[in-house]
Formats: sequence, structure tokens, C-alpha cells
Amino acid sequence: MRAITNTLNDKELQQRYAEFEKEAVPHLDAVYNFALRMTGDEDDADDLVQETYLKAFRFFDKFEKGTNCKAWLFRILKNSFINDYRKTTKEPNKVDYDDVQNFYENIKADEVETQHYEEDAFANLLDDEISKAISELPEDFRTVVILSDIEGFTYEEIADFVDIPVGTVRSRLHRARKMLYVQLFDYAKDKGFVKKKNSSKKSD
Amino acid sequence: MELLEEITSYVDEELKDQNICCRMKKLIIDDYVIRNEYMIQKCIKDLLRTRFSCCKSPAGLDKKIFLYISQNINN
Repeated sequence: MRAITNTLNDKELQQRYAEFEKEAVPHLDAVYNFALRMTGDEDDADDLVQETYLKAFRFFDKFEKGTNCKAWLFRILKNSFINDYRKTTKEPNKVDYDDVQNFYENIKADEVETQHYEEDAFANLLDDEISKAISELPEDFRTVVILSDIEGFTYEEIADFVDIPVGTVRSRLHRARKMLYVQLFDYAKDKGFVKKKNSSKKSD
Repeated sequence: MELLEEITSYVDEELKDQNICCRMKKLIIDDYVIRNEYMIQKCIKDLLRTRFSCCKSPAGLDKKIFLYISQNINN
């Protein structure tokens, strides 16, 4: 790769800095947030964001002005994460989807009161507990749930930069939320935030 | 499974066909399994949106980034 300073003169370089600052920096919070959720560590997130912005700056001439800069940055971040970080980052214990299916199939009408969903049974959980549940999702599921529910991207945008069909986005999102529900339900139950209806019936 | 995943699209307002939306609304009212699925999907979506949407980056990260760019631009 040719050095940028060999291809751009000083004026062009300053112009690139100015345009980059205007386009890319406003998305810094979102990019950092995504990095933090992907790595689960503040220092790693910090490094990953710096690496992402360096790559974005180098290839800023490839960015089509007027298109979604945030999505473009997220795509760079995700690729950097896959190439540079995933190999070295220690992954937390992951939720097994088979366990989720078993749990879910065992939710009976008389076991969990549906009003708990409406009253937000998880309201008393700490942010750290919710973060932990997110970090324990398998990476593919974690990515889509962060992009959809935290960052507010559409299925089409997610499909575009994760490079999977829209149907797969929906399917992963569907499963990811169920996995999170199972994790959070366990936390909430342990802390007494969720009561079981007819709990004595279970031992019958 | 397909129908249950459609609920996810409904929660995310990704269903474009109004007839399917109406059908979903009715199923949520009439069918316990569908209602349960809807509640779980919506509960988690709302929880994440309300608790995690505003995470700020550390102060000075933007300056650190530009310093990092200037130091590594030609590597």
C-alpha cells in the first residue's frame, strides 16, 4: 500500500482531515459502544476504535459521500474485530442455543405469569448483569442484537454490513433475544424479581 | 418457526405488508404461544434500547484517534 502522504499533498491531506472529522467523528459514541459490546473490555474497545478510525481515514476516498457513514464505520470495525481481535480476545462462556430451546419449550402457561413481561420483570437488574448476558451470546448473535436493538439499524443495513441475507438477520435476532431472555430470567429469578405462579405444582 | 420469526419482524416494524401486520395483531391476542413470543421479543428489545442506547465514549478519545492517525498514517 502506498503511503497517504505520498499520494496526497499537504492541502489535500488537511482537506481529508477536515472532511473526516465532519463525517466520522460524530459517530464516535456509537462506534465505541459497538466496540465495547463486541470486546467486553474498555481497553480493547479503545484500541479497536482507534484501529477502526485509522483504517477509515486511510480509505476515506472509498467512502461514498451522502451514504451511511455510521454503517461504513461499523463494517470496518466488525472486520477489524474478526481479523485482529477475535483471535486474541478471551471469549466469555457462551450460551448454548439448545439450552435455550429446552428452557423455552418448558415455559408453560401456568409457570410464568405473562404480566411479568408487561411489568418489566428485568427493570431491577443492573446494567452490568444485562451487559454480561449480552457478552455471553455467541458472536454472530451478539452482533445482530447490538446493531438492531442498541444501535437501531434496519434489517437491510445489518444484512449489508454483516454480509448475510435479511432472513438470517431476523432469525439470529429472534434467537438472540430468546437467549438473552433465558439468561436474564435466571438472574431475575435468582434475585427474586420473578415469582413463579403455582411453584408448588412443579414438584408434583 | 417461520411464523414465530415473523413476530420478530413485527416487533421491529419490518413487516411491510399491512395484511400480515393485521394477522399478527390478531394472533397476538388470540394465540398464547404467539403472545408469549411477542412479549419476550418486545421485552428484550425495549430493555436494550432503554438501558444501552446512550453509552458515551471516553473523554478525549477523538483527540487520541487523531494522534494515532498522524503517527500511523504511513505504516
